[in-house]
Amino acid sequence: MARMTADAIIQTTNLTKRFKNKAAVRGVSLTVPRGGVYGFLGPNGAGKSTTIRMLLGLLTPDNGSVAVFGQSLTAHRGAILARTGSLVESPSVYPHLTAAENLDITRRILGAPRSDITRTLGIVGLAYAGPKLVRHFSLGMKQRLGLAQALVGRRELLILDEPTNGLDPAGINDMRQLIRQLPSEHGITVLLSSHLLSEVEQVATLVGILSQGALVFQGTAAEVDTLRQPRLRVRTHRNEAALAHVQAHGWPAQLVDGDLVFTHAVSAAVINRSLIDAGFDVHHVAVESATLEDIFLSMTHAEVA
Amino acid sequence: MTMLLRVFVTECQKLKRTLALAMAFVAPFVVIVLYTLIGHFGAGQLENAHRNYWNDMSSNSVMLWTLLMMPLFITLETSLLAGLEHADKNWKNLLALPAPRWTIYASKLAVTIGIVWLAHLVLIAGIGLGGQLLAWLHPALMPMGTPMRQLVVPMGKVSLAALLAITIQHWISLKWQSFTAALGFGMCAMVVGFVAANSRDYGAFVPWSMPLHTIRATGHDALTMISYALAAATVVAFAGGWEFGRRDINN
Repeated sequence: MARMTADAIIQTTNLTKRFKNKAAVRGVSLTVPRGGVYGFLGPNGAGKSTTIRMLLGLLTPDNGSVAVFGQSLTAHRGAILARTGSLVESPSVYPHLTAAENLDITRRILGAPRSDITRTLGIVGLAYAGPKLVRHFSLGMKQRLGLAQALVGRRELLILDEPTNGLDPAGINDMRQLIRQLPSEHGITVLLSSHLLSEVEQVATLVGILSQGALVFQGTAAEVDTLRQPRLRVRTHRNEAALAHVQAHGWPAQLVDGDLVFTHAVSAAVINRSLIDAGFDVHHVAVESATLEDIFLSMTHAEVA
Repeated sequence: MTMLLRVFVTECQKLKRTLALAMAFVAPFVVIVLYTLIGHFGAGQLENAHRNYWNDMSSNSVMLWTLLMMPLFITLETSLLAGLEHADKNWKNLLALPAPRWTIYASKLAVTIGIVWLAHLVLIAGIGLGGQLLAWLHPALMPMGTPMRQLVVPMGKVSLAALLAITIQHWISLKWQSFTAALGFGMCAMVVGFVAANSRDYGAFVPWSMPLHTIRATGHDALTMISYALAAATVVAFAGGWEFGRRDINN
C-alpha cells in the first residue's frame, strides 16, 4: 500500500496514538514525497489532525516514528520545525496585536529577516492589513494570516489541516489558489488535510486516505479518480424482482437502501429499456458520483477481500 | 541562549495592549490611592494623635499588598498571560515553532515575575509620591523625608518570597485551559495564605503567607525563609517545565 519514495519529505512508520484506550491513529505509515501537494483525506474523526499533530511534535506517538527531511523528529525537532510551517485547524493569532506584530513574533523565533513580514503578507494578499489589529479581521483574513505565519522563514514543507474550514466560497477559492501556487512558485511541499474529496482533488497530486485511524489508500489523485466511477441508481415498483431480472442479463447490481445500484459502467438507457420491456414500472433513474464514504467502503471491502 | 532571548522578547511583545500589563500599574495604584486618601481625610485626627503617617502609610501599604492584593494579582496575571495562548488555541502554533518548549515556559515565567516586580516598583514609587503629596498638603502629618528603607527592604523580601507562589500559579495557569480553574485555585490559595498568615508554626511555609512572614522576620530567620522560597520555587519551576515539555497539545 505505502509507496516508499527515496526523496520522501515525510515518512512515518507504524504511527499509533491512543486516547483513553481508544486508538485515534493505528499504524499509519505515510510517505509524502518532496514537491507538489499531498492530499490527506478522511472523514471527521478519522485521525487526520492527530496524525498532523504528531508530525509537528505536538503529540507524542504511543508507537512508531516520524522522519521529516530524512531526520528523526524526536532527535531533530528544532531543525525540522524551522523548515516546516503549519496551520492546524483554526488560525492561531493574537487578536490584540496587528497582523505585522503577529508575524513579527513568528519571524523573531525563526530568526527570519524583518522583510519576511511584508513578503508573506503579500503572498497571502494581506499587504494592506499589516498595521491593522487582528481582532477586527474576518475569519478569512485570519486564515490568510495563519497561512502567512506558516510561510515566514525558509519553509520547505507546509502542513495545513483543514485550512478552508469556516471560509465562504470566495475564501475557499482564494485559499485553493494560494495552496496550488506554493509548490510551483515557492518550492514548498504541501501536506493538505481535508474531509472533502472535491477540495483535495482540485489541488493534490498525491492522496493518502485515512479511515478510522488507519491509512487505507496512498496513491495518485488519478488513482482515486478511478475509484470514483459513477454509479447508476434505479427504482422500480418491484426492486427485488428487477434485481433478479438484471442479474439474469449479466448486469452486476445490488440493492442499496432498497434501490438497484450498478457500480460498474452500464448504460442507463439500456437498463431502463430492458426493465420497461420486462414490465417493470421505472420510477427513478439517476447517475450518482461516488462519495468519499463510498470510496472508503469500497476500499475497506477490497482490503477484506 | 539566543533562542531563549528571542522567545523572551516575543513574550514581552505579546504584552502590548494587554490588561495584564495595565494591571501592573492599576493594582498598586489602588493601594497607593487608598492610603493617600486615608491620610488626606484623616489628617486632622492623625496630627492630633502625633502620628508619623510615613510609618503608617508605608507599613500598611506593604502589608495590604502582601497579604491581599499580591496573591490576587499573581492569580490574575498568570491567568491573563496564560490566556493569551489558551484563548485562540495558540499553543498548537507556538509549540510547532522551533523554540524548545523549556524556553517558552521559562520566558513566560520570567515575564510573569517581571510584571509582579514591576508592580512592586510602582508601589514603592507610588507610596513615595503619595507621601510627598501628603507632606505638601499636610506638613505636620509627614515630619520626615520618604523612608525608602522602610519600603525597599520589605518589598525586596516580598519580591523574592513571592517567587514560590508565582511559579506554582504559573504552572497551574499553563496546565489548565480554564481561566476559572486557575482563578479558583488562586483564590483558594489566597484564603489559605490569609489564614496561615497568623500561624507561627506553618505560616512561613505556606507559599501565599510566606512573603508576609519574611517581612516580620529579621536577620537569619528572614534569610532562611527566602532561601526556602527560592529553593522551592526552583524545584516547582523545573517540575513545571519538565511537565510542559512532555505535554500533549490536543486542542
